Amino acid sequence: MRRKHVLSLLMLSMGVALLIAATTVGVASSANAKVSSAKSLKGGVLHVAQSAGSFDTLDPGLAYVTNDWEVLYSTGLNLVNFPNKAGQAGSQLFPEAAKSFPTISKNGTTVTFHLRSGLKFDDGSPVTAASYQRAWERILSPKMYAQYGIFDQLNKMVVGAQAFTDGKTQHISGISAKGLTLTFHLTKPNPTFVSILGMQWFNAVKPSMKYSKVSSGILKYPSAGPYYIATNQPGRTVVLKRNKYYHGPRLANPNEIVINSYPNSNGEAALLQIEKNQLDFDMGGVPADDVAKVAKTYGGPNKGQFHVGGQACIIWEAFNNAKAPTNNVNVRKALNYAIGRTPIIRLLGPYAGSASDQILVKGLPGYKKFSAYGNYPNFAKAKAVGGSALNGAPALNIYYNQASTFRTNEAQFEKAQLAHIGLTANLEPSNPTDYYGPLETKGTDYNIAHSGWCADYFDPFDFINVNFDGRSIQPTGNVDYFYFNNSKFNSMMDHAASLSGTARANAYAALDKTLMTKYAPAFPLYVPTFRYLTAKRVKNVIYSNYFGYPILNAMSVG
Amino acid sequence: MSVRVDTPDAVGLSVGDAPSEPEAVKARGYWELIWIRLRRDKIALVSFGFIVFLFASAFAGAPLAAHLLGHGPNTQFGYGVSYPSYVPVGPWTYVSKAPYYGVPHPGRYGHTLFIFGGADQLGRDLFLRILYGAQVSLEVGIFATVGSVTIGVLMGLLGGYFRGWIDTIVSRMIEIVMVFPYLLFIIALRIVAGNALNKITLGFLPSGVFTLALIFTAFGWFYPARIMRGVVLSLREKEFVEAARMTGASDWRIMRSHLLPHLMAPIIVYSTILVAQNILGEAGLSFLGLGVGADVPSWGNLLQQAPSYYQTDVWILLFPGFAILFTTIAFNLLGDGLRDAFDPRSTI
Repeated sequence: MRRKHVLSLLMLSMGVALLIAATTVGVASSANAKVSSAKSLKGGVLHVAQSAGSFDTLDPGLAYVTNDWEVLYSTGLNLVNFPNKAGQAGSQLFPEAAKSFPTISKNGTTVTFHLRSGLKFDDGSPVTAASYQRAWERILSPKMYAQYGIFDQLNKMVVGAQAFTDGKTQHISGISAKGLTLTFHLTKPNPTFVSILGMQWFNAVKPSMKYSKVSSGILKYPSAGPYYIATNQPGRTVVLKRNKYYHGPRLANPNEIVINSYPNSNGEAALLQIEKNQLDFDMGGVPADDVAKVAKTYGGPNKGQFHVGGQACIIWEAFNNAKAPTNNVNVRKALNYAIGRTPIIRLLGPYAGSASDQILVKGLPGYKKFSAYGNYPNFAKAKAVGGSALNGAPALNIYYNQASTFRTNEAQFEKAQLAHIGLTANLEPSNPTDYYGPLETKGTDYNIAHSGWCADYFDPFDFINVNFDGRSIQPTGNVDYFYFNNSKFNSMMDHAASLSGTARANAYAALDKTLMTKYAPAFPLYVPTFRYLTAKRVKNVIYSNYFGYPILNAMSVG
Repeated sequence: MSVRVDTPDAVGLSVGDAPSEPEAVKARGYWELIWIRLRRDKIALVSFGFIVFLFASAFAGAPLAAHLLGHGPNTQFGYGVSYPSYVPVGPWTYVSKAPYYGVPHPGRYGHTLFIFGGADQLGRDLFLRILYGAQVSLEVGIFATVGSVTIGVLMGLLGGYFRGWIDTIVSRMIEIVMVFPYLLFIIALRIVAGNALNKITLGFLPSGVFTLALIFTAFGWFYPARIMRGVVLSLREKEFVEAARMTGASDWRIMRSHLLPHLMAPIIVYSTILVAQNILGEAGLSFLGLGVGADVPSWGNLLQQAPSYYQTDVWILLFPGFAILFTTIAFNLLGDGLRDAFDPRSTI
């Protein structure tokens, strides 16, 4: 019996010791092995993690999420593209595969590009005008998993595109590809057309690239940008290798870029690895809870390894306008008053961004700052606005990504705020490897879901029409997570899109305000920043305001 | 030298005493002997006391503390996190009851006290969350154990008593469950039906407790079933079973009235150990985000947020960690003591 007591005490002591030890250890001592730095920018393997997420797809005909585009920017070759420059200069398009910006006919409806000669895919085959014709077909074809081009109304932009989208023709009649000459016949003059071609949907693809009916698309295919996809294991690993045929101005510093996705990780492990130089960069950024500590350790933002970059994005909570009780405008307005923006931003730690309760972001034509609901919770106003719609309302389903500590906290915070106005809520964690799938599918039972929108191109159409035109809602593959469809507002959007210049900007400013004050289909939350840490060995960190990410192919570990 | 109580030597007579008035010898019953053995095991008694204290703290202490403090385990205090460090406040801190940080004149809302444990990252009272977390741990532990042991005993009884094809079916089912990759199953179940299952609360359970109890029951019954089957296989050949059968007792009566009482010792011992396992399982799955709802205060959920603060607010890791450690050790030590107490070869 005495021996048993001794063993029990020993066991207890060991447990206590292990628990205390767990609070003091960081990563293994072997982690201190530092990678030697070299003067050359080229060479080496850039090790990247993607915490709390994974790539939906790296098929340019289906990719529509910022992290997907971050990779496609390194692999794709567009007619016009963004240079590897920081700041505003990095958001100015330059002719890349095209010899120059296009010639446009006097009536503005014929746009002609002449491609550079000698451009090649990584398999050595030439890039021709047909490569871009195929890219257009893949973004609009009914043979694809989703026709994302419809959301940007590409089907109405080019002659014959609607018939092609409807499956009535094999090719888009308004796109002519002859050798290195590519001609678009537009239905009407479009001042944003060239900007649209900077989207990663329009990476050069081989004319023989097949359509795909699966959401992950085609995993590997020849590409003509600085890198090509050598390995693509969905949800796990992507390896990019340098394309020896790319001779353009964009950088191709690392020999390889290895990206490992950890959809179930909140980023703590990656952060420790970066601090120990075992990892170069985490696409998930610094976990919200660690930002203050990291900023303090590395002397504040943009002074060394810790970086903060702006983003042309608006983060919002999408209200499902097709499901009770968020199908009621008074409930949606009440939520806009009750939840509170600034307290949620505080959950993100310092340098997270600035509160906003409008859809458009600064820098877009038509942006006019207003505040419809305020940044702090106002329960009295919420109850007054919600009125009887709040009485007996069914419980709201708050859908969130449980791998993210911030989003989990945000969901809990929102549930607590809802209780102040008499609403109940269920917390519905997502499948970490497929957060957006249910949002893209019509009829899913969420009421509130965290998401956001970043500029595809700098035009208000991309924020307003793309997200709130309910006529484009399909069974799957939607980007309108609000399922908002209002005929009157649709007409107003059509009118705004038909305008140009100052009239267009003013029309979109009015739309922005009307949308939020009259319909409140969303809870705009904040204009975010991207806060990230790079390993000590990483040099040449160039942040792209357009993508809201540092440019992978520019990073140097050589 | 101690003397076995069930031998004739144990009558209390010493050599040379005059046999004046014969003392009445009181026979000690089965349960009395067990209690005598158990009460000599101080560690087991302390463990039992701790478990009683835990139950009292969880189911009576938690609501009482919430009432006295004036806030619940899910009440969020904007001033529970200090700025600009963005770190939750520590133990014994008075914070404003203002609904959010930055409200004008926060003092007018009054103050509340975080007695012990400080706040978590949403400004909630960690002390209350640990107390309410005990409810979740014990509910999962007890319900899953009752479920597992009930199914296990039933299957073990059926297989061991009837043998033949029934035993074959029971044994194969046990083997299938044993080799089933239940963690993968939980992940898949969580994806496919997790949100629907978490809504089943039976009117009194927190979100996710029923799901966890169901899963632990489904994958926890095989071990008690194996133990019971082995014991019943041995018992069914004993004379008392033969005698019962000769008197015309039905199979059901033999199992219920003659075999089941003999299984009480292993059932009780194994149950205590299983409770500890299930508490650890709940903490582990909640830590991985597969357990109870995110806003439900459970020790696993509390631990999940701890890694962010292990360098600044170490108590967020230590308090739920110690709670899990002491609770599982208490159940294990009690189980160990009961095993010794039930052993007729143990000395008293």
